[in-house]
Amino acid sequence: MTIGFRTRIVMAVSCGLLVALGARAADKAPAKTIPAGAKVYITPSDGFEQNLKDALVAKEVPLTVVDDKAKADYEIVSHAQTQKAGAAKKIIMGSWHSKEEATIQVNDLKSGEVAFAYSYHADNSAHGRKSSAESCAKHLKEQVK
Amino acid sequence: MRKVLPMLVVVLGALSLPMVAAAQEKVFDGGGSAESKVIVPGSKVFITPIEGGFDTYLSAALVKKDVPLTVVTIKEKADFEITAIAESEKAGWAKMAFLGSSQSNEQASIKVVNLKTGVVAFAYAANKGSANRGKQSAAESCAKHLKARIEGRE
Repeated sequence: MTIGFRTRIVMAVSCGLLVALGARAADKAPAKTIPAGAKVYITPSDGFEQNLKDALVAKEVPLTVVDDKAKADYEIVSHAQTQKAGAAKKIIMGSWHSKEEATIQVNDLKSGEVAFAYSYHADNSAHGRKSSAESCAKHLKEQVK
Repeated sequence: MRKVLPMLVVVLGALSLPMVAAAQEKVFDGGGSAESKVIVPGSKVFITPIEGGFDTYLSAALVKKDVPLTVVTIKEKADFEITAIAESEKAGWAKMAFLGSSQSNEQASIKVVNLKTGVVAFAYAANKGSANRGKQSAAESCAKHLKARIEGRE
């Protein structure tokens, strides 16, 4: 069986494209995962750490929260901001819900690398900080394998 | 065959150009030049803590936008340092009444410094008059442009 000239050209171009795509993919850092059952320490953050602890339980995230940083494999650093609806928002926009912003970062305490980070924003949050903490927990659960 | 060969040369040439350019950039950076502004994919970056937690927003944005950098929490392990400032201004009653918008005004600026040479490799400022997602929008804008810079699109 002989391969035609055109077929060879097509194969050569396809190989070139595959090599180029492979090179691009190699540039991308592989996604980091957090092993299930890992011990995490939640850094105090104006009370949001308690919301996060509750959210990890509510969303059944397979991580163990510890109170001693020395015993932990990972550290969760977070920031959260709540803005209550003012009179203008209530009268003009007709909304009593608060505006919530939150962000979390999971640091690997052994390697010093950031294993996961996520930010949340809601203009009209139904359950305030609980909503933002649960959103963070939900997305963190996807990263735990 | 006469038609196919030039096409093949053009296609292979186009494919090899970005690789050659990237290789040249990497060689240039490897020379340790003080004027090097190249950010090599896979470099380790340390984000300086910022009041209001914008550093964490930035970290999340780098993950979301698939920026090919590794964020580290120990400065000694990093190749680059990101310093930033951010400011939010919530919508007042006039903005709500006349524009019907309760979205905040966000301003952020980042600077990426090569820790070995001390050269500012990248800097960007974002201004969002009505940011849909507050600080998250500003951080993602910075991350998007940083990614474009790393990939040589800016």
